[in-house]
Amino acid sequence: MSKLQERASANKWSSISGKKPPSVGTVLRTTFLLVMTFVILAPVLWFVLSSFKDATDLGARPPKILPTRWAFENYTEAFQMYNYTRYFMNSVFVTSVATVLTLLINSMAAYAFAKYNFRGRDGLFVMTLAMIMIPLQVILIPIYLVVSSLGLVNTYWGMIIPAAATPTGVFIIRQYMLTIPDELIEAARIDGAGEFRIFARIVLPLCRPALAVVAIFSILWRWNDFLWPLLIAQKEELYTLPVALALLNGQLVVPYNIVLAMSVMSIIPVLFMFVFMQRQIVQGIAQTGIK
Amino acid sequence: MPYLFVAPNMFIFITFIIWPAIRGFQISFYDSIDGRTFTPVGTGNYRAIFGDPTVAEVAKNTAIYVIFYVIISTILSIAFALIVNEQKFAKGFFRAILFLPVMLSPIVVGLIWNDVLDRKVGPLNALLEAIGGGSPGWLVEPKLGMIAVIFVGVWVHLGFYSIILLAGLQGIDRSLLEAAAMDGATRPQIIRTIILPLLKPTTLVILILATIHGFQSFDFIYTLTGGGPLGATTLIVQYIYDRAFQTPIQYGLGSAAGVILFMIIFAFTALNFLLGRKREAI
Amino acid sequence: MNKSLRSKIAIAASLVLSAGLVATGLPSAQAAGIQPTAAQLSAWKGKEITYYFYNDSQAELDTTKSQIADFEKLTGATVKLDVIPYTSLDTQLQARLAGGNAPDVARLNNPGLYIKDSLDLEKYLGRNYVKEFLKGSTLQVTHPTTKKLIGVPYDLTVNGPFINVDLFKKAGVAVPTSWNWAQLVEAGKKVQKATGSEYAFAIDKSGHRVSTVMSQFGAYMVDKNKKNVLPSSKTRAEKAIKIITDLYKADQAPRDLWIGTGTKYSSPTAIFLAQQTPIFFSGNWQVASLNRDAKFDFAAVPNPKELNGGGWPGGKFLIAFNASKNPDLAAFFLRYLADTEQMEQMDKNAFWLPTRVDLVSQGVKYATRSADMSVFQADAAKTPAAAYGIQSVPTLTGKIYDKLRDLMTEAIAGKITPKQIVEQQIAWIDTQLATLKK
Repeated sequence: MSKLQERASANKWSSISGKKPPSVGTVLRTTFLLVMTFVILAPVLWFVLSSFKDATDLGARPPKILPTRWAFENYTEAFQMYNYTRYFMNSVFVTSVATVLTLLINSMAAYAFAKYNFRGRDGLFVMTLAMIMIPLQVILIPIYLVVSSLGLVNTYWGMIIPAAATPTGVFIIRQYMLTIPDELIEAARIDGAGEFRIFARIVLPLCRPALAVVAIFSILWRWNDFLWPLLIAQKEELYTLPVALALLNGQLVVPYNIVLAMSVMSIIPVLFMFVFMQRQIVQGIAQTGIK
Repeated sequence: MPYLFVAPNMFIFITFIIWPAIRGFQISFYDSIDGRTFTPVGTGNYRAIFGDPTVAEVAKNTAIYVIFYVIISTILSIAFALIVNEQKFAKGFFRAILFLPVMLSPIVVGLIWNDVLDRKVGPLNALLEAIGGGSPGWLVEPKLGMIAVIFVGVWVHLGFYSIILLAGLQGIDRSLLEAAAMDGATRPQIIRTIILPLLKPTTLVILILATIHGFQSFDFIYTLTGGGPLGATTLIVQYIYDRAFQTPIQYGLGSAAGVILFMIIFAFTALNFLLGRKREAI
Repeated sequence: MNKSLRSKIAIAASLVLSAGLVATGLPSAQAAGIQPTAAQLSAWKGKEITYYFYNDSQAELDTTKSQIADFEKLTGATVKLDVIPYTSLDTQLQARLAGGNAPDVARLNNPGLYIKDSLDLEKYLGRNYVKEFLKGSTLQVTHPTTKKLIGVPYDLTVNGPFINVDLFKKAGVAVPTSWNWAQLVEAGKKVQKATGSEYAFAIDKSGHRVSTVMSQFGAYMVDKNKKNVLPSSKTRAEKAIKIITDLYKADQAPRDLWIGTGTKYSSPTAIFLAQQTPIFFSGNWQVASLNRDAKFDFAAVPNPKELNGGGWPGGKFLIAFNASKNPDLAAFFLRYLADTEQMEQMDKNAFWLPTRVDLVSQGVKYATRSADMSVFQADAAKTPAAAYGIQSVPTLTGKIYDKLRDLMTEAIAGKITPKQIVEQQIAWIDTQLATLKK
């Protein structure tokens, strides 16, 4: 028998379609991926379903997957009793303004670090990196004291400005800018373009992937940030969604079902954004060459 | 001119991070119960921390958490990155799923797992009971609490590290892999001898990030267990938080702990970085 | 006529006028002698004060908002209401005080922490103002050294048990009119068995609530002379604590809730609302929320009587801050909120117990749940004087209660015994009291 015929008979899988049987590797891989999908999706789905349950269902034992009664009032009460729309708009405002500010000043600083040679450059850069390691809780009170002495407490700017100088942002953009050829900038200088023009018209547009990554990280982080806005926002009109959630969760009698509904509502925008942007995120990170 | 570019960032930096950090360092040598009156205590806070048995436990908890978190996260994220990379069908879908937990706010993460891990009404135990596995008290037994917290921590950040590794994988020259395949190397061999070594720089980044994240873990743990059961999941950041935000308030003590935490993170990061450098040089 | 004479006449006139209004019994908000003077009105016009506030119930929030609206009409000033979550009440306030951003007035349950920031109310409201309130209720807002009034007792809270009447009926157990702890536990277990509810009993995770049980057994921690009296009631304290820890250890009370929440506060209200426990030991401030959310018949029942009956006192207080830019207005706002008319309205809507002498003697007529409120009021009256002792150390009560709670957590997890709880609590109280000497 020829080698092929031997192999064919040795093959125990009788496939009708004539396709090759899945290799062990593929089976393992697919199983792994399916398990991963389950472990990630299941808790989130459970959470979403729970937001539609009423108090009795939430305390049921053993727990039921679907609510016996779809408690839509969890959501309507969230809107009626609590100023959900306001919190949402605040979150949107703070997140978007903060992201724009972050992108602006981070990219400017990154440009300086990447394309200029000036005294103290390396020292400043290392200092910037070192700051990634300070957890916010450690400097919470001193920052608060500084912010309040500047009169920024209880203002939108107080929520937005202090954290805009993100070290990771500077790092990522700088990495990318390093790959932009110096000749391009030199040529523009010879043509008589001003420094800022070069930065804004030539360099920045080339940095889109890096900017996208920083933007996405900033959006994610600001949208979910709660500790700092909790301290700064001292009147209800300023509360962002996470602050409102923390507020609800910290009441003397926690309206747990409303907490669930509001939490679910707070996830949706980010989810939306991600579904549409996940390709850019991965590509962006790839292209910034995190080396 | 460059100073102008750097200025806005540096200004905010210095005003809102560097200066408060210095202040925090200063405060660590004082005692304060209200943030307004400060009584100097010299190294009293540091001595108190090193002599406090609860601190020893907090340090132990933090060490356990960080070690397991970093190791598990690194290994799993490499595994998943490799797997998703190989995947031809619905790759984008799986990538999206992986990244999903990263997008959730830490409070929501805590709330989700509080529900799922509940001993009586949580679906996990309901599932375990159905297959005869009993009903462990994930959030009420000290040892299980730590396991639960490590698991959730990994669950949240896995996608983040995987995406970075995926990006690193894309940077590997295809021709290298093709040449090896033509030479008759099997997939596992290729992974071991070519891909992994080339992934080292990215892996180093993951290690450093995971270490920093590990040490800084607080928000979701606090929502999930409040540091319980019986302080089993109280890590160092919560220790600092409690000193500043729970009675009895002790800002000086909290600041001192913060300084220590910073130095630990710094040491670990530097170590990681230097070791990585050494390996590359060889 | 010079200015001061004019204002004196204005004050006298307004007093006469308001006395007249009281006599005619007009039920308007402007009755009962809380008219601002003309001078005050012109000084306050357009000014704003901040009210740092948290609420137990929606009813309380709504009533506060409407009373603020009335106040604004009355004075021409505005009040900014800052609603804060209970769990970050003190931390946010500390942050604000540290940041020079103090509110003008606040509603607190632990005024002891803010004594040195508080406004001397006697200066603005007179030395006799304190007499308008029940003696016991003003202890926590009396300055420890100057003995002046620095806050207003806003409501009196009484700890005590609620029962799920439907579950009791289903189990055939009579609603108790008086009982001791053995009977309470037995009733709880009986109902649990007959109805299949998850638990037999639940109590708020709080040293303050547990102190109620201790008091009924005749055990106290601190007396009115700031002395540690727990050593002399060791065995009684053990007995009381053991009842609770036994129930929790056996998971007949929500063990997971107590152990699994670390340093965070937790209340088994949700469990009671889900009808998974027939008995819920909390306090009268729950009535408003239970009234709104309970889908079953519930009732407040008298505290069990061992050596003593009665509950354990607590309360919420209003204080004004000496950093306020409008101390006169702030003090007046406090007075307004705590005045007969306003307090009666709040008590009725939010199911609170009054702290004013006049309201206590005339009684507050609750529209619903009056039976429950009568139970609490009766228990308030029965509360032994020794229960107020711990209020002599207002800056330490939080720490003492929290330590008790943490020790009980360890016992429930099986790490220590009730006896050890008492011993360690005694040591803790001693160290805390020692800090007062400094």
